Amino acid sequence: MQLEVEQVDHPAPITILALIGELDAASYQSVIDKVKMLYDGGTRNLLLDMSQMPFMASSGLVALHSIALIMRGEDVADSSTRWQALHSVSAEFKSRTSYEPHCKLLAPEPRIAKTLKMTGFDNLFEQFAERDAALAAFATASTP
Amino acid sequence: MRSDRTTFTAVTQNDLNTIRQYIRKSALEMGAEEAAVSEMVIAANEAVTNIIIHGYGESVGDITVELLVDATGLTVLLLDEAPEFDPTAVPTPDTSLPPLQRRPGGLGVHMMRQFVDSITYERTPKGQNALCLQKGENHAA
Repeated sequence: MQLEVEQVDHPAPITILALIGELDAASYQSVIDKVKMLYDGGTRNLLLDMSQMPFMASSGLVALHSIALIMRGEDVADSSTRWQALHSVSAEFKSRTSYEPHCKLLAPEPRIAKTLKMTGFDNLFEQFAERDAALAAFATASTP
Repeated sequence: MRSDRTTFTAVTQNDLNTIRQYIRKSALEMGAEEAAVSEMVIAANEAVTNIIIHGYGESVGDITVELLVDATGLTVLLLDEAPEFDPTAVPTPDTSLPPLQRRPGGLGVHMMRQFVDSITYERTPKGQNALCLQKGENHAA
């Protein structure tokens, strides 16, 4: 998987991370590592551009969960406990009353959107079809 | 009816993309519907990932992928020689349970169930795990 970073001011600084390729058990760790590096470098608003990601496995959900924790400033579990940590918050996902304020998704393809919905991740991450709308949404709080 | 069969040797997570491409390309060439193929690839990827991570674990082994396209739809049969494991017996993740009471891999099996119409498992006389994923041609979401 290829990762491309773009920084924009809208007016607050927003990092756009383009996920290019297929997100699976062989690649998900690289995405987590990249987001951790971006957060440590000062990124506080992150838009994950999924428009060039045709496939996502359940390991991609693990990556998304870890990314949510990173963007909250929380510790990310090590790889041996990451799946359990994911399950532990599934109930939380379904009862959430607000999206992650600092991380949003751009243009997930329909089957990926279906995966997000069936696992409750659609209540965690606000999704946008258009880039401008996604960037604008960082200035406002939204609810699922 | 059209079929194809390939054995992938010493499979690791780095082979997942190759296996997905094989299933996609072969199924389409055999006349399966694109939408059904895409959802089958998602389910098969989860099954293969489970075989690699939870079946073979620290060791590596072979996985045979058999494709069948006929009037009933698209079928993928996965054969491996890992210790006996029946993913159809994995309960749907119960988010009300404490995390440590849940089985690893439940989320992947949940995705498998969502993207295909039927999943059957048997332990073959040769001591292989045989997992059969079936999707009807007209059942793509």
